[in-house]
Amino acid sequence: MADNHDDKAALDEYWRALQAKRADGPGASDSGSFDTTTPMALTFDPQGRR
Amino acid sequence: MTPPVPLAPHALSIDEAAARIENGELTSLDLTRAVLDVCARRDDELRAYITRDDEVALAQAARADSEMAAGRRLGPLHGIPVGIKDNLDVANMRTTLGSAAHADRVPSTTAPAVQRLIDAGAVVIGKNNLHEFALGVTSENPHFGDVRNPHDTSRIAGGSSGGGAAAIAAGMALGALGTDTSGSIRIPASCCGVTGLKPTYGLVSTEGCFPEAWSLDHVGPMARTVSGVRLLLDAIAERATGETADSGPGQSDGAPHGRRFTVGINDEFYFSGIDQSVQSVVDAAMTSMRADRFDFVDVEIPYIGDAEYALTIIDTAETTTVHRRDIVERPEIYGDDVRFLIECGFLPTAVDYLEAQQMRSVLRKSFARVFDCVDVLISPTIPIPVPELGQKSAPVEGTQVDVVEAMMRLVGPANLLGLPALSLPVGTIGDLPVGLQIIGAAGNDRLVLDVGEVVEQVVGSAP
Repeated sequence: MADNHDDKAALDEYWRALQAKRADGPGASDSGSFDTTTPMALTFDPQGRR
Repeated sequence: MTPPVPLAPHALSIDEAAARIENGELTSLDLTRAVLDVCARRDDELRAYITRDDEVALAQAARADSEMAAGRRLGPLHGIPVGIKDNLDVANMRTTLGSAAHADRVPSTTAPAVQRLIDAGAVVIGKNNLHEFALGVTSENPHFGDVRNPHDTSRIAGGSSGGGAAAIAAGMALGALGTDTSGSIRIPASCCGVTGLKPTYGLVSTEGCFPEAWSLDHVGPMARTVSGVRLLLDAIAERATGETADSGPGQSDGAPHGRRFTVGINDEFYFSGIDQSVQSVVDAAMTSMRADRFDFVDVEIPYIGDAEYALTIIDTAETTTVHRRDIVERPEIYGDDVRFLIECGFLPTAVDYLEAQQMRSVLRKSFARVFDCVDVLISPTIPIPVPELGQKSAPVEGTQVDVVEAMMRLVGPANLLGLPALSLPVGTIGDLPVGLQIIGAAGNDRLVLDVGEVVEQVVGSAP
Protein backbone atom coordinates (compact mmCIF):
# COMPACT_ATOMS: atom_id res chain seq x y z
CA MET A 1 0.00 0.00 0.00
CA ALA A 2 1.04 3.57 -0.58
CA ASP A 3 2.66 4.47 2.72
CA ASN A 4 5.24 6.95 1.58
CA HIS A 5 4.86 10.54 0.49
CA ASP A 6 6.01 10.06 -3.11
CA ASP A 7 3.51 7.28 -3.80
CA LYS A 8 0.66 9.23 -2.18
CA ALA A 9 1.38 12.26 -4.33
CA ALA A 10 1.61 10.10 -7.45
CA LEU A 11 -1.71 8.41 -6.64
CA ASP A 12 -3.38 11.79 -6.10
CA GLU A 13 -2.06 12.98 -9.45
CA TYR A 14 -3.19 9.76 -11.14
CA TRP A 15 -6.71 10.16 -9.76
CA ARG A 16 -6.95 13.81 -10.81
CA ALA A 17 -5.81 12.92 -14.33
CA LEU A 18 -8.28 10.04 -14.52
CA GLN A 19 -11.21 12.26 -13.51
CA ALA A 20 -10.19 14.66 -16.28
CA LYS A 21 -10.74 11.86 -18.80
CA ARG A 22 -14.48 11.78 -18.03
CA ALA A 23 -16.41 13.29 -20.86
CA ASP A 24 -18.21 15.56 -18.42
CA GLY A 25 -15.07 16.47 -16.54
CA PRO A 26 -12.32 18.98 -17.21
CA GLY A 27 -10.74 18.25 -20.56
CA ALA A 28 -13.99 16.72 -21.77
CA SER A 29 -14.42 15.60 -25.35
CA ASP A 30 -17.37 16.78 -27.43
CA SER A 31 -19.14 13.43 -27.26
CA GLY A 32 -21.47 14.54 -24.47
CA SER A 33 -21.74 13.75 -20.80
CA PHE A 34 -23.06 10.55 -19.30
CA ASP A 35 -26.51 10.64 -17.72
CA THR A 36 -26.16 8.74 -14.44
CA THR A 37 -29.90 8.90 -13.83
CA THR A 38 -30.64 6.47 -16.68
CA PRO A 39 -31.37 2.99 -15.29
CA MET A 40 -29.12 0.41 -16.92
CA ALA A 41 -28.63 -3.33 -16.65
CA LEU A 42 -25.33 -3.91 -14.90
CA THR A 43 -24.60 -7.44 -16.05
CA PHE A 44 -21.80 -7.66 -18.58
CA ASP A 45 -23.28 -8.87 -21.85
CA PRO A 46 -21.09 -8.45 -24.93
CA GLN A 47 -23.98 -9.45 -27.19
CA GLY A 48 -26.08 -6.59 -25.87
CA ARG A 49 -29.01 -8.88 -25.09
CA ARG A 50 -31.25 -8.32 -22.12
CA MET B 1 13.92 -14.86 -64.88
CA THR B 2 15.43 -15.92 -61.54
CA PRO B 3 13.13 -18.17 -59.53
CA PRO B 4 12.18 -16.84 -56.09
CA VAL B 5 14.40 -17.96 -53.24
CA PRO B 6 12.40 -20.31 -51.00
CA LEU B 7 11.77 -18.95 -47.52
CA ALA B 8 13.69 -20.57 -44.68
CA PRO B 9 11.38 -22.84 -42.67
CA HIS B 10 11.28 -20.51 -39.67
CA ALA B 11 10.12 -17.63 -41.93
CA LEU B 12 7.08 -19.49 -43.29
CA SER B 13 3.51 -18.65 -42.40
CA ILE B 14 1.57 -21.32 -40.54
CA ASP B 15 -0.47 -22.37 -43.56
CA GLU B 16 2.61 -22.52 -45.81
CA ALA B 17 4.49 -24.65 -43.28
CA ALA B 18 1.50 -26.89 -42.63
CA ALA B 19 1.05 -27.49 -46.36
CA ARG B 20 4.73 -28.42 -46.77
CA ILE B 21 4.54 -30.80 -43.82
CA GLU B 22 1.40 -32.38 -45.20
CA ASN B 23 2.84 -32.95 -48.68
CA GLY B 24 6.17 -34.24 -47.35
CA GLU B 25 8.40 -31.31 -48.41
CA LEU B 26 9.19 -30.43 -44.79
CA THR B 27 9.27 -32.35 -41.53
CA SER B 28 8.18 -30.92 -38.21
CA LEU B 29 11.57 -31.91 -36.84
CA ASP B 30 13.43 -29.80 -39.44
CA LEU B 31 11.04 -26.90 -38.89
CA THR B 32 11.38 -27.09 -35.11
CA ARG B 33 15.18 -27.33 -35.35
CA ALA B 34 15.20 -24.22 -37.58
CA VAL B 35 13.09 -22.32 -35.05
CA LEU B 36 15.28 -23.45 -32.14
CA ASP B 37 18.40 -22.41 -34.07
CA VAL B 38 17.02 -18.87 -34.27
CA CYS B 39 16.20 -19.01 -30.57
CA ALA B 40 19.79 -20.02 -29.81
CA ARG B 41 21.14 -17.15 -31.91
CA ARG B 42 18.80 -14.35 -30.89
CA ASP B 43 16.91 -14.98 -27.67
CA ASP B 44 19.67 -13.97 -25.27
CA GLU B 45 19.12 -10.48 -26.66
CA LEU B 46 15.39 -10.51 -27.47
CA ARG B 47 14.20 -12.29 -24.29
CA ALA B 48 11.08 -13.57 -26.01
CA TYR B 49 11.02 -16.74 -23.92
CA ILE B 50 11.17 -17.20 -20.15
CA THR B 51 11.28 -21.00 -20.37
CA ARG B 52 12.12 -23.33 -23.24
CA ASP B 53 12.58 -27.09 -23.19
CA ASP B 54 14.21 -27.85 -26.52
CA GLU B 55 14.35 -31.60 -25.89
CA VAL B 56 10.62 -31.78 -25.21
CA ALA B 57 9.87 -29.64 -28.29
CA LEU B 58 12.04 -31.85 -30.51
CA ALA B 59 10.39 -34.96 -29.08
CA GLN B 60 6.94 -33.51 -29.85
CA ALA B 61 8.08 -32.71 -33.39
CA ALA B 62 9.46 -36.22 -33.89
CA ARG B 63 6.14 -37.66 -32.71
CA ALA B 64 4.28 -35.40 -35.12
CA ASP B 65 6.42 -36.70 -37.97
CA SER B 66 5.82 -40.31 -36.91
CA GLU B 67 2.07 -39.70 -36.83
CA MET B 68 2.19 -38.10 -40.28
CA ALA B 69 4.22 -41.02 -41.66
CA ALA B 70 1.55 -43.34 -40.30
CA GLY B 71 -1.14 -41.34 -42.07
CA ARG B 72 -2.52 -39.68 -38.98
CA ARG B 73 -2.68 -35.90 -39.46
CA LEU B 74 -4.05 -34.30 -36.33
CA GLY B 75 -5.13 -31.09 -38.05
CA PRO B 76 -3.99 -27.90 -39.73
CA LEU B 77 -1.46 -27.20 -36.94
CA HIS B 78 0.22 -30.59 -37.26
CA GLY B 79 3.90 -30.11 -36.38
CA ILE B 80 3.72 -26.28 -36.17
CA PRO B 81 5.99 -24.69 -33.50
CA VAL B 82 4.18 -22.21 -31.24
CA GLY B 83 4.92 -20.14 -28.15
CA ILE B 84 2.58 -19.82 -25.17
CA LYS B 85 2.37 -16.67 -23.05
CA ASP B 86 3.70 -17.40 -19.59
CA ASN B 87 0.41 -16.61 -17.83
CA LEU B 88 -1.24 -19.63 -19.48
CA ASP B 89 -0.73 -22.94 -17.69
CA VAL B 90 1.05 -25.79 -19.44
CA ALA B 91 1.29 -28.97 -17.36
CA ASN B 92 4.79 -29.78 -16.12
CA MET B 93 6.26 -26.63 -17.68
CA ARG B 94 7.30 -23.68 -15.53
CA THR B 95 4.66 -20.94 -15.72
CA THR B 96 5.89 -17.82 -13.95
CA LEU B 97 3.27 -15.16 -14.80
CA GLY B 98 6.32 -12.97 -15.44
CA SER B 99 6.74 -12.67 -11.67
CA ALA B 100 9.84 -13.56 -9.66
CA ALA B 101 7.52 -14.60 -6.83
CA HIS B 102 6.24 -17.41 -9.07
CA ALA B 103 9.57 -18.30 -10.70
CA ASP B 104 9.31 -21.94 -9.62
CA ARG B 105 5.60 -22.43 -10.27
CA VAL B 106 4.92 -25.62 -12.27
CA PRO B 107 1.22 -26.29 -12.95
CA SER B 108 -0.14 -29.82 -13.07
CA THR B 109 -2.80 -29.07 -15.68
CA THR B 110 -2.89 -27.37 -19.08
CA ALA B 111 -5.16 -24.44 -19.94
CA PRO B 112 -7.95 -25.65 -22.26
CA ALA B 113 -6.99 -23.15 -25.00
CA VAL B 114 -3.42 -24.49 -24.98
CA GLN B 115 -4.65 -28.08 -24.89
CA ARG B 116 -6.75 -27.41 -27.99
CA LEU B 117 -3.61 -26.24 -29.81
CA ILE B 118 -1.72 -29.34 -28.73
CA ASP B 119 -4.65 -31.55 -29.76
CA ALA B 120 -4.56 -29.87 -33.20
CA GLY B 121 -0.93 -30.94 -33.56
CA ALA B 122 1.02 -27.86 -32.44
CA VAL B 123 4.52 -28.22 -30.99
CA VAL B 124 5.07 -26.09 -27.87
CA ILE B 125 8.47 -24.38 -28.06
CA GLY B 126 8.20 -22.69 -24.68
CA LYS B 127 6.68 -19.98 -22.52
CA ASN B 128 6.83 -16.43 -23.81
CA ASN B 129 8.00 -13.47 -21.75
CA LEU B 130 5.47 -10.79 -20.80
CA HIS B 131 4.95 -7.71 -18.70
CA GLU B 132 4.89 -8.79 -15.05
CA PHE B 133 1.47 -10.40 -14.35
CA ALA B 134 0.45 -9.02 -17.80
CA LEU B 135 -0.02 -5.66 -16.04
CA GLY B 136 1.53 -3.35 -18.60
CA VAL B 137 1.93 -2.71 -22.31
CA THR B 138 5.71 -2.58 -22.80
CA SER B 139 6.96 -6.08 -21.76
CA GLU B 140 9.80 -4.43 -19.88
CA ASN B 141 10.20 -7.05 -17.17
CA PRO B 142 12.51 -6.46 -14.18
CA HIS B 143 12.60 -10.16 -13.31
CA PHE B 144 13.13 -11.95 -16.66
CA GLY B 145 14.57 -9.21 -18.85
CA ASP B 146 12.97 -6.70 -21.22
CA VAL B 147 11.52 -8.13 -24.44
CA ARG B 148 13.21 -6.29 -27.32
CA ASN B 149 11.74 -5.54 -30.71
CA PRO B 150 13.33 -7.76 -33.40
CA HIS B 151 13.12 -4.89 -35.94
CA ASP B 152 15.12 -2.52 -33.69
CA THR B 153 16.39 -3.87 -30.39
CA SER B 154 16.48 -0.41 -28.82
CA ARG B 155 12.66 -0.41 -29.06
CA ILE B 156 9.98 -2.18 -27.02
CA ALA B 157 8.11 -5.19 -28.36
CA GLY B 158 4.86 -3.88 -26.89
CA GLY B 159 2.86 -5.83 -24.37
CA SER B 160 1.86 -7.47 -22.42
CA SER B 161 2.14 -10.39 -24.89
CA GLY B 162 5.47 -9.03 -26.16
CA GLY B 163 7.38 -12.30 -26.05
CA GLY B 164 4.98 -14.07 -28.40
CA ALA B 165 4.91 -11.24 -30.92
CA ALA B 166 8.71 -10.86 -30.85
CA ALA B 167 9.16 -14.62 -31.22
CA ILE B 168 6.98 -14.72 -34.35
CA ALA B 169 8.64 -11.66 -35.87
CA ALA B 170 12.12 -13.13 -35.31
CA GLY B 171 11.27 -16.64 -36.54
CA MET B 172 11.38 -18.19 -33.04
CA ALA B 173 7.78 -19.48 -33.43
CA LEU B 174 5.26 -19.56 -36.24
CA GLY B 175 2.36 -18.71 -33.95
CA ALA B 176 1.64 -17.84 -30.34
CA LEU B 177 -1.13 -17.60 -27.78
CA GLY B 178 -1.43 -14.31 -25.95
CA THR B 179 -3.88 -12.57 -23.67
CA ASP B 180 -5.53 -9.18 -24.11
CA THR B 181 -7.18 -7.19 -21.31
CA SER B 182 -6.45 -3.67 -22.55
CA GLY B 183 -4.81 -4.32 -25.90
CA SER B 184 -2.15 -6.82 -24.87
CA ILE B 185 -2.32 -8.88 -28.07
CA ARG B 186 -2.89 -6.05 -30.54
CA ILE B 187 -0.26 -3.64 -29.13
CA PRO B 188 2.67 -6.07 -29.44
CA ALA B 189 1.36 -7.33 -32.78
CA SER B 190 1.47 -3.74 -34.04
CA CYS B 191 4.92 -3.05 -32.56
CA CYS B 192 6.46 -6.25 -33.95
CA GLY B 193 4.76 -6.31 -37.36
CA VAL B 194 2.72 -9.46 -36.85
CA THR B 195 -1.02 -10.16 -36.80
CA GLY B 196 -3.02 -10.64 -33.60
CA LEU B 197 -6.69 -11.12 -32.75
CA LYS B 198 -8.55 -10.36 -29.56
CA PRO B 199 -11.60 -12.58 -30.05
CA THR B 200 -15.15 -11.88 -28.88
CA TYR B 201 -15.38 -12.10 -25.09
CA GLY B 202 -16.03 -15.71 -24.10
CA LEU B 203 -15.19 -17.27 -27.46
CA VAL B 204 -11.89 -18.68 -26.14
CA SER B 205 -11.65 -20.16 -22.66
CA THR B 206 -9.70 -18.17 -20.08
CA GLU B 207 -9.53 -21.15 -17.71
CA GLY B 208 -5.92 -21.83 -16.71
CA CYS B 209 -4.98 -18.23 -17.44
CA PHE B 210 -3.92 -16.12 -14.45
CA PRO B 211 -6.53 -13.33 -14.36
CA GLU B 212 -5.83 -9.67 -14.84
CA ALA B 213 -9.38 -8.24 -14.87
CA TRP B 214 -11.97 -10.95 -15.33
CA SER B 215 -14.60 -9.03 -17.28
CA LEU B 216 -11.97 -7.73 -19.72
CA ASP B 217 -9.67 -10.77 -20.11
CA HIS B 218 -9.38 -12.54 -23.46
CA VAL B 219 -7.08 -15.30 -24.77
CA GLY B 220 -6.24 -15.02 -28.46
CA PRO B 221 -3.90 -15.95 -31.31
CA MET B 222 -0.94 -14.25 -32.99
CA ALA B 223 0.77 -15.29 -36.22
CA ARG B 224 2.61 -13.83 -39.19
CA THR B 225 -0.53 -13.63 -41.38
CA VAL B 226 -4.30 -13.40 -41.02
CA SER B 227 -4.66 -16.95 -42.35
CA GLY B 228 -2.35 -18.16 -39.57
CA VAL B 229 -4.44 -16.35 -36.97
CA ARG B 230 -7.57 -17.92 -38.46
CA LEU B 231 -6.09 -21.43 -38.19
CA LEU B 232 -5.12 -20.83 -34.57
CA LEU B 233 -8.55 -19.39 -33.71
CA ASP B 234 -10.29 -22.36 -35.32
CA ALA B 235 -8.24 -24.61 -33.04
CA ILE B 236 -8.76 -22.73 -29.76
CA ALA B 237 -12.35 -21.46 -30.07
CA GLU B 238 -14.87 -23.13 -27.81
CA ARG B 239 -18.44 -23.80 -28.67
CA ALA B 240 -19.35 -20.44 -27.24
CA THR B 241 -21.16 -20.42 -23.94
CA GLY B 242 -23.11 -17.92 -21.88
CA GLU B 243 -23.46 -14.54 -23.49
CA THR B 244 -22.10 -15.66 -26.86
CA ALA B 245 -24.02 -18.94 -27.04
CA ASP B 246 -25.87 -17.95 -30.20
CA SER B 247 -22.88 -16.70 -32.12
CA GLY B 248 -20.74 -19.82 -32.57
CA PRO B 249 -17.01 -19.46 -33.14
CA GLY B 250 -17.15 -16.22 -35.06
CA GLN B 251 -19.56 -15.44 -37.84
CA SER B 252 -19.27 -13.94 -41.27
CA ASP B 253 -22.01 -13.53 -43.82
CA GLY B 254 -20.30 -15.59 -46.47
CA ALA B 255 -18.34 -15.20 -49.70
CA PRO B 256 -15.95 -12.64 -48.17
CA HIS B 257 -13.66 -12.38 -51.15
CA GLY B 258 -16.35 -11.50 -53.64
CA ARG B 259 -18.18 -8.77 -51.75
CA ARG B 260 -17.58 -5.16 -50.81
CA PHE B 261 -17.11 -4.13 -47.21
CA THR B 262 -18.45 -1.03 -45.48
CA VAL B 263 -15.87 0.43 -43.13
CA GLY B 264 -16.77 2.95 -40.42
CA ILE B 265 -14.46 5.88 -39.76
CA ASN B 266 -14.82 7.75 -36.47
CA ASP B 267 -12.62 10.83 -36.59
CA GLU B 268 -13.51 12.12 -33.13
CA PHE B 269 -11.93 9.23 -31.22
CA TYR B 270 -10.21 6.71 -33.50
CA PHE B 271 -8.42 9.20 -35.74
CA SER B 272 -7.60 11.98 -33.29
CA GLY B 273 -4.28 12.45 -31.55
CA ILE B 274 -2.42 10.36 -34.13
CA ASP B 275 1.28 10.93 -34.83
CA GLN B 276 1.68 12.27 -38.36
CA SER B 277 4.03 9.50 -39.50
CA VAL B 278 1.58 6.84 -38.28
CA GLN B 279 -1.30 8.69 -39.92
CA SER B 280 0.56 8.77 -43.25
CA VAL B 281 1.05 4.99 -43.26
CA VAL B 282 -2.60 4.37 -42.37
CA ASP B 283 -3.76 6.91 -44.98
CA ALA B 284 -1.78 5.03 -47.64
CA ALA B 285 -3.39 1.75 -46.56
CA MET B 286 -6.84 3.34 -46.68
CA THR B 287 -6.14 4.66 -50.18
CA SER B 288 -5.33 1.12 -51.33
CA MET B 289 -8.45 -0.19 -49.62
CA ARG B 290 -10.66 2.49 -51.18
CA ALA B 291 -9.37 1.52 -54.62
CA ASP B 292 -10.42 -2.07 -54.03
CA ARG B 293 -13.52 -3.41 -52.31
CA PHE B 294 -13.95 -1.04 -49.40
CA ASP B 295 -16.47 1.77 -48.94
CA PHE B 296 -15.76 4.25 -46.14
CA VAL B 297 -18.52 5.82 -44.07
CA ASP B 298 -18.13 8.49 -41.39
CA VAL B 299 -19.76 7.37 -38.15
CA GLU B 300 -20.49 8.96 -34.79
CA ILE B 301 -20.15 6.89 -31.62
CA PRO B 302 -22.05 8.64 -28.80
CA TYR B 303 -20.30 8.59 -25.40
CA ILE B 304 -17.02 7.20 -26.84
CA GLY B 305 -15.32 9.92 -24.81
CA ASP B 306 -16.20 7.98 -21.64
CA ALA B 307 -14.60 4.70 -22.77
CA GLU B 308 -11.08 5.30 -21.45
CA TYR B 309 -12.37 6.38 -18.04
CA ALA B 310 -14.76 3.44 -17.70
CA LEU B 311 -12.15 0.92 -18.83
CA THR B 312 -9.55 2.26 -16.43
CA ILE B 313 -11.91 2.14 -13.44
CA ILE B 314 -13.05 -1.42 -14.19
CA ASP B 315 -9.57 -2.69 -15.12
CA THR B 316 -7.79 -1.32 -12.07
CA ALA B 317 -10.55 -2.29 -9.61
CA GLU B 318 -10.72 -5.88 -10.86
CA THR B 319 -6.92 -6.18 -11.06
CA THR B 320 -6.48 -4.98 -7.49
CA THR B 321 -9.15 -7.40 -6.32
CA VAL B 322 -7.04 -10.23 -7.78
CA HIS B 323 -3.88 -8.94 -6.05
CA ARG B 324 -5.50 -7.55 -2.87
CA ARG B 325 -3.68 -9.85 -0.45
CA ASP B 326 -0.19 -9.84 -1.96
CA ILE B 327 -0.12 -6.06 -2.44
CA VAL B 328 -0.77 -5.66 1.30
CA GLU B 329 1.24 -8.56 2.69
CA ARG B 330 4.27 -8.61 0.34
CA PRO B 331 4.32 -5.54 -1.91
CA GLU B 332 8.04 -6.06 -2.46
CA ILE B 333 7.35 -8.87 -4.96
CA TYR B 334 6.14 -6.37 -7.55
CA GLY B 335 8.13 -4.17 -9.91
CA ASP B 336 7.64 -0.44 -9.33
CA ASP B 337 5.21 0.19 -12.21
CA VAL B 338 3.06 -2.84 -11.47
CA ARG B 339 2.92 -2.08 -7.73
CA PHE B 340 1.76 1.45 -8.48
CA LEU B 341 -0.91 0.20 -10.90
CA ILE B 342 -2.28 -2.18 -8.29
CA GLU B 343 -2.34 0.60 -5.67
CA CYS B 344 -4.36 2.70 -8.13
CA GLY B 345 -7.11 0.08 -8.05
CA PHE B 346 -7.89 0.88 -4.40
CA LEU B 347 -8.97 4.41 -5.37
CA PRO B 348 -12.34 3.82 -7.13
CA THR B 349 -15.33 3.42 -4.82
CA ALA B 350 -18.04 0.84 -5.39
CA VAL B 351 -20.11 3.67 -6.84
CA ASP B 352 -17.32 4.54 -9.29
CA TYR B 353 -17.11 0.91 -10.40
CA LEU B 354 -20.86 0.56 -10.88
CA GLU B 355 -21.11 3.86 -12.70
CA ALA B 356 -18.34 2.65 -15.03
CA GLN B 357 -20.42 -0.46 -15.69
CA GLN B 358 -23.35 1.79 -16.59
CA MET B 359 -21.11 3.67 -19.01
CA ARG B 360 -20.22 0.30 -20.49
CA SER B 361 -23.90 -0.45 -21.09
CA VAL B 362 -24.44 2.88 -22.82
CA LEU B 363 -21.37 2.37 -25.01
CA ARG B 364 -22.48 -1.11 -25.94
CA LYS B 365 -25.66 0.36 -27.38
CA SER B 366 -23.69 3.07 -29.19
CA PHE B 367 -21.44 0.52 -30.88
CA ALA B 368 -24.37 -1.80 -31.69
CA ARG B 369 -26.03 1.04 -33.61
CA VAL B 370 -22.79 1.67 -35.52
CA PHE B 371 -22.53 -2.00 -36.49
CA ASP B 372 -26.08 -1.86 -37.84
CA CYS B 373 -24.61 0.39 -40.55
CA VAL B 374 -21.03 -0.84 -41.12
CA ASP B 375 -19.20 -4.17 -41.26
CA VAL B 376 -16.21 -3.00 -39.25
CA LEU B 377 -14.53 0.04 -37.72
CA ILE B 378 -10.87 0.71 -38.40
CA SER B 379 -8.16 2.79 -36.70
CA PRO B 380 -4.43 2.80 -36.20
CA THR B 381 -3.67 0.17 -33.54
CA ILE B 382 -1.38 2.53 -31.62
CA PRO B 383 -1.21 6.26 -32.36
CA ILE B 384 2.56 6.69 -31.98
CA PRO B 385 5.66 5.09 -33.53
CA VAL B 386 7.09 2.12 -31.60
CA PRO B 387 8.68 3.64 -28.45
CA GLU B 388 12.22 3.08 -27.25
CA LEU B 389 12.83 1.01 -24.12
CA GLY B 390 12.27 3.27 -21.12
CA GLN B 391 10.60 6.02 -23.14
CA LYS B 392 7.92 7.75 -21.04
CA SER B 393 6.43 10.32 -23.41
CA ALA B 394 6.10 10.99 -27.13
CA PRO B 395 5.31 14.11 -29.14
CA VAL B 396 1.91 14.17 -30.87
CA GLU B 397 0.50 17.30 -32.50
CA GLY B 398 2.94 19.51 -30.64
CA THR B 399 2.35 18.14 -27.14
CA GLN B 400 3.96 15.35 -25.13
CA VAL B 401 1.66 12.38 -24.47
CA ASP B 402 2.17 9.56 -21.99
CA VAL B 403 3.44 6.53 -23.93
CA VAL B 404 1.49 3.90 -21.93
CA GLU B 405 -1.80 5.83 -22.09
CA ALA B 406 -1.33 6.47 -25.80
CA MET B 407 -0.71 2.80 -26.61
CA MET B 408 -3.86 1.72 -24.71
CA ARG B 409 -6.22 4.44 -25.92
CA LEU B 410 -7.43 3.07 -29.26
CA VAL B 411 -7.47 -0.62 -28.33
CA GLY B 412 -9.33 -0.30 -25.01
CA PRO B 413 -12.97 0.04 -26.14
CA ALA B 414 -12.93 -3.43 -27.75
CA ASN B 415 -12.01 -4.91 -24.36
CA LEU B 416 -14.65 -2.88 -22.53
CA LEU B 417 -17.34 -4.14 -24.91
CA GLY B 418 -16.03 -7.64 -25.68
CA LEU B 419 -15.73 -6.93 -29.42
CA PRO B 420 -13.43 -8.89 -31.77
CA ALA B 421 -10.48 -6.74 -32.84
CA LEU B 422 -7.57 -7.56 -35.12
CA SER B 423 -4.24 -5.79 -35.63
CA LEU B 424 -2.32 -6.41 -38.81
CA PRO B 425 0.76 -4.70 -40.26
CA VAL B 426 0.07 -2.21 -43.07
CA GLY B 427 3.41 -0.46 -43.49
CA THR B 428 6.50 0.84 -41.76
CA ILE B 429 8.11 4.02 -40.46
CA GLY B 430 11.72 3.28 -41.33
CA ASP B 431 12.19 -0.27 -40.04
CA LEU B 432 9.37 -0.01 -37.51
CA PRO B 433 5.99 -1.59 -38.24
CA VAL B 434 2.64 0.21 -38.14
CA GLY B 435 -0.52 -1.75 -37.39
CA LEU B 436 -4.12 -1.24 -38.48
CA GLN B 437 -6.91 -2.20 -36.06
CA ILE B 438 -10.12 -3.78 -37.42
CA ILE B 439 -13.03 -3.98 -34.95
CA GLY B 440 -16.26 -5.92 -35.49
CA ALA B 441 -19.55 -6.54 -33.75
CA ALA B 442 -19.56 -9.15 -30.97
CA GLY B 443 -19.57 -12.63 -32.51
CA ASN B 444 -18.30 -11.43 -35.90
CA ASP B 445 -14.76 -12.75 -35.45
CA ARG B 446 -14.76 -14.42 -38.84
CA LEU B 447 -15.96 -11.28 -40.59
CA VAL B 448 -13.12 -9.33 -38.94
CA LEU B 449 -10.66 -11.95 -40.20
CA ASP B 450 -12.25 -11.88 -43.68
CA VAL B 451 -11.76 -8.10 -43.82
CA GLY B 452 -8.21 -8.47 -42.51
CA GLU B 453 -7.37 -11.02 -45.17
CA VAL B 454 -8.54 -8.70 -47.95
CA VAL B 455 -6.68 -5.74 -46.40
CA GLU B 456 -3.56 -7.91 -46.27
CA GLN B 457 -3.97 -8.67 -49.98
CA VAL B 458 -4.56 -5.12 -51.13
CA VAL B 459 -2.11 -3.34 -48.81
CA GLY B 460 0.73 -5.85 -48.55
CA SER B 461 2.04 -8.23 -45.95
CA ALA B 462 4.23 -8.13 -42.88
CA PRO B 463 7.55 -6.21 -42.84
